[in-house]
Amino acid sequence: MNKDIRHLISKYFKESDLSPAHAALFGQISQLLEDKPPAVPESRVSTAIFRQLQAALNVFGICEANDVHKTGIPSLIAMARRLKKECADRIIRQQKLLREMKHLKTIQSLASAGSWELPVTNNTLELPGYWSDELYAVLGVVPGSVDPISDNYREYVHPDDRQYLSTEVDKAIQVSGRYDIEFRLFRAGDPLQQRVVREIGELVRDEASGQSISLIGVTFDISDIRNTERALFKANVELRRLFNVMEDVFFSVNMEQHTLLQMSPSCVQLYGYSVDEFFRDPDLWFSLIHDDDKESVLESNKRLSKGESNLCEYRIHHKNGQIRWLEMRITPTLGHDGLLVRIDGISSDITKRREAELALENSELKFRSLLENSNDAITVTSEELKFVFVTQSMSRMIGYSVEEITGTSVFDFIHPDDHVTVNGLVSQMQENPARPIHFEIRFRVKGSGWIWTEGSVTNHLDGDIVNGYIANFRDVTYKIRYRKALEASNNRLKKTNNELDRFVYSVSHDLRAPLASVLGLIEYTTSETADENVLQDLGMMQGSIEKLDRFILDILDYSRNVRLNIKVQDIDFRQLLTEIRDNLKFLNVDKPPIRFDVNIQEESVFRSDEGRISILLNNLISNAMRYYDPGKPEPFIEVNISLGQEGANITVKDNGIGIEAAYHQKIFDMFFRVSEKSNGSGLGLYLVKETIEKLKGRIDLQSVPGVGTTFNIFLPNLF
Amino acid sequence: MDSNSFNYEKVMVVDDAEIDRFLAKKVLTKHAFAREVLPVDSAVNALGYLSENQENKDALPDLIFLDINMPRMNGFDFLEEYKKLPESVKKKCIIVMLSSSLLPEDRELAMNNPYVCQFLNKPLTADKLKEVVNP
Repeated sequence: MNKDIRHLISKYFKESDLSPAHAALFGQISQLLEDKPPAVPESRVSTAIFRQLQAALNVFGICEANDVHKTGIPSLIAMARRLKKECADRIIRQQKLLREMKHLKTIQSLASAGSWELPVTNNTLELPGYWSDELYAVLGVVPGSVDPISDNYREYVHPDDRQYLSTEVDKAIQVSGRYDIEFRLFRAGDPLQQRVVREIGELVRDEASGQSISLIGVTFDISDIRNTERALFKANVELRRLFNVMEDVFFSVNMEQHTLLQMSPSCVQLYGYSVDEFFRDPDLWFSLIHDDDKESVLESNKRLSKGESNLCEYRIHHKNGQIRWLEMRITPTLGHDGLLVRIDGISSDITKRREAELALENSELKFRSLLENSNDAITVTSEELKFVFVTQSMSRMIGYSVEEITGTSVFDFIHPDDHVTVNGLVSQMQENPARPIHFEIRFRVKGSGWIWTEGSVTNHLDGDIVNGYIANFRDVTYKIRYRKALEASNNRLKKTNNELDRFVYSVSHDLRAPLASVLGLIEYTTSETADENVLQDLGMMQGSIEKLDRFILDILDYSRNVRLNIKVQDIDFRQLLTEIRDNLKFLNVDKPPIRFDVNIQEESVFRSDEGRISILLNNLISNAMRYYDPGKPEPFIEVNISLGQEGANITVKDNGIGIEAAYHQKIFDMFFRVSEKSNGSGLGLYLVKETIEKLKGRIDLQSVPGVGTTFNIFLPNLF
Repeated sequence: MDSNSFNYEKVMVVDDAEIDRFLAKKVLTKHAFAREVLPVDSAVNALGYLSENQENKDALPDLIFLDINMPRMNGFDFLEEYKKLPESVKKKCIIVMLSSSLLPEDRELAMNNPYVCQFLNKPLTADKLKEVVNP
């Protein structure tokens, strides 16, 4: 039997159900198909075959007319052939269907797309529906483990999206017939595994009635797509931002056809020309190069044809007229024939860098010329005190060449007596890095001994640019010699002064001793005689010797004021004035009594040098006593002292003969005497002035001849 | 003043200046200050005398006028050596410094010495003798 028929039979008829007659029938059909007349062409048999064929064709929906006249052999052959064809078609369709199902399943799996179908009756979903395995996979559950019903499905939808899904589905069923939405799912119902899905649903209607039959759809996981999209978007934004801020210009050139392939838009900033302008004129980039640099650019670009990348710096004319410095880096691509096919490059604006470099070069040049032209020697010394760098001025100063000095130890050039100074400087510098330290040092001069130098040295061992001890100094031999001479002469003078002081003191003392002896003898002789003439002579002798004695005492006081240091102590003016008054008693022996008033206001303790205050009060009071006015009925001396925080205000006032205004300035001068008759030394007020200066005070006077004199003194508290 | 009563029996005057020794002798005698004046021209000789007569109480002076400025050994040097003399000597003698020095330092130094009881400035006068402590 024909195997197609047999196949057909096995598919649509159960062979076991076939009666032997039918089996024979099929054998006959097979023969018919092989264009062989049936072995037994009998009309009853023909009719039976006809009916069988008719029934078989019916299965395929083909209705043959129930025409017994067509039971003739040719008619039966035609029917058998038709049946064969239908059978073959069916097999092909089935195979195609299987293929498509398999295809669908694979696609669904590949696309992570699950499909489903739900029956619809009277515009409502019916249960249960159909879920593809892949839909289960999208939901993250084992296929078949959940009943394919809408309520179960909703369980996996994000709670916030459930209402949205229902609304869209209802809308599709009632109105639009289709929906295409995105919503969120929880895989396996786990909120942590949130996925985004896209679901497309389509309502299927019965073609004849227009009634909705089912809703079929596809649901696929688009989480990854969404994530990728987002990342891509972000990357795009960043890239755009990068391009916008990127000042460098990227370009590619096809070297075979000499055409620009691409150029980044930042060329507008760099050159002032747009991308289009560069595309229109392939030589534009070259024409913009500064004439002086064109050749070097061409020269360096020759490397490219050897396959070597090139880096060059050159100037261009910007459209705005400015000159800009460019750095161009080019990577070549050679074809398999070794010829240059393409270049890719980046051009960067390095104007600022170049300007800075040029400025640096310039300032270095200036600095160097400053160094070399400076009269100061400048040296840089290593930590081991070897000259690392010396200026020409150093060479000029000491006569050795720069080469002779460099690399040698500083000690080779410094006077042995100053080596200790150098070591001191080093330890000072180590304690105070970056601080200049002053020095005076003798340097060896080629062939002619030593010079004195003066300058400063700074520890820059940790310096950024120069590491070492940096010194600058100059020849001060003349100055130092002068100063040393001055110091020596000053010391001599001090010594002389001291000797003079001692001399004055000792001479005064030695002069005074015999005077005292003579005075004693005069007094003794006076007491021994009653002869008026002798007594008068003795009186004159005594007066003369007392004058000499006072003069010597004044010189002694002066010498002591100059010589002695100030000795600060609490001053008791009452005691002091009593002593002075007692000491001066003798002055008043043969004169009318002079009233002596002392008025002291003490607000605080006064501290100063008692010896010197004694000298100055002694002098002022003794002057007042000596120059009293005999014409006045009541001569007086009034001493007012007020002691405050600042110091002492002292006034010594008398109603004596007074001093003419013309002499007010002169009375404080050394050896100045107002009157020939006065038997003073001319040192008294000079001493007062000197003493007050020593005590940091001040003095002035008011005096009117015939009225009296007032000295006002201020003495500060000393500590 | 009673002419028969002297303030001191024996007064030594140590001074290098002859005129001062002369004057001192005159004044001391005139004002009956001392029965006997013993002028000595140097501190060395004064020490020698005291040392020699340390056992002879009558020969020792009751009072010594001592100058400060003297060659070789001055008044203060004398006091340093005087310190080493036996107590018998030091107990008997009163020392009064008699100097033309006006230096406060000299006066201070003298007054701080335990054997010096007074400091007088030259010249020696009757008034100044009155200030000298009585025995």
